[in-house]
Amino acid sequence: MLRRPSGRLASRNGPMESCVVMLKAMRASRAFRRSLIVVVVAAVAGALVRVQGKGSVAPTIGGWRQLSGPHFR
Amino acid sequence: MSTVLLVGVGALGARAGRQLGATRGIDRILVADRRADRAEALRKFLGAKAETVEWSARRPLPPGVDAVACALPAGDDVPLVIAALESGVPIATSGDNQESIATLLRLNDEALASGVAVLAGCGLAPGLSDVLAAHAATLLDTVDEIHVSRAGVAGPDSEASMRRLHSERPHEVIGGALNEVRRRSTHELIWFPEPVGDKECELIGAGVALLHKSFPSAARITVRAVEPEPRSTGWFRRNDPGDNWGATRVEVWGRIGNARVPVIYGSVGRTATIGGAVLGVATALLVGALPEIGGAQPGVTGLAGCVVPEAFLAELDRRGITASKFEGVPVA
Repeated sequence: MLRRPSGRLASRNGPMESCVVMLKAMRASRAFRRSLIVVVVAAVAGALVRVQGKGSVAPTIGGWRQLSGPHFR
Repeated sequence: MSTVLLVGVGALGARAGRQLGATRGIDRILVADRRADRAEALRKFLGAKAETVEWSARRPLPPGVDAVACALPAGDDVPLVIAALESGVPIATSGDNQESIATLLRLNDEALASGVAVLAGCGLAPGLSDVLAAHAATLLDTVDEIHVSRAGVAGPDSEASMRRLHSERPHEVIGGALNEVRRRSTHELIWFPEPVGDKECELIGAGVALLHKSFPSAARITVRAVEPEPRSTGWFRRNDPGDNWGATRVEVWGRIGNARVPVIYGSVGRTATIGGAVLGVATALLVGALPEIGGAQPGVTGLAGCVVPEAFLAELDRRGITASKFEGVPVA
């Protein structure tokens, strides 16, 4: 479990151990920031594809109607 | 008074001859075929309007001909088109061979210089499919994609041509440019009008170049077709494949305002009958017998480039060839 480094912890466990804890916390926050960036980029890309993409689907369920009328439509 | 030279009286050519015989404004039909018995049979059917002629592409066209209807096997039509260009006579040809259509398109400058109209690919697909694509395009503001599918062959020569098309590397338009496809894609299941129904179709190159010329704005154009049955089952097949059903399906994508929508048209019938009717009506267009269906300009083009689609479809409808529209809902 990750713990936030504090002065109390540093004073109790000594400077060496407090440095290790701080390092772990920094790594954890970097990973958190990276994952946050990935999520945001994915959301923006998804929104762009959704709005701008040619995602129309051809009709697949239906039937054929004979063309008729003056304009054959 | 208009005179038409009909060359080739096979499965499709015989039907085209009957259609020409039933067209007002065409008074004389010269029938030429390497088999005299077939030409004579059609002459007897058409009566006083028709006469047989002994003619080959190496000779100049018979005098007094106003237009040529070519129903020769795919590839054999090129010498005939060259002879027609030299004589200054417009010609409609039903050939669906990828290479021969490409050769005809390369003759465009000669056709323009001699002021002769050459209508290439006047059959089921290419042919009626081009007209349906043009008709669909009238419903759209812009055309993005055209996907044509075809099932059925008109006769033994048409079957051989289709077999060859399936063995060649197809062409398709990708990104607005005509390209040779290096790797053939897998089969695609296409729903044609009944009774043909669903068939597996494979990419071929027949008519792609003609559609590309008629719809230069389309970024993607493909043509697919059902592969004929293997020869090993020949004993169990009917003698005349032209009696089999044929169909075409044309899916055109484009925009109406901001919305991107498809328009899907199709037609079904006896393949030779449809092809013959299309060739007959296209030849009638060339001689001006049916001015309401369009007018051909000098140069080599497909039907989409010179017809009034709804008038052409109305003329086919009068001859028993109907078209349909697929109406349905998308299921993602």
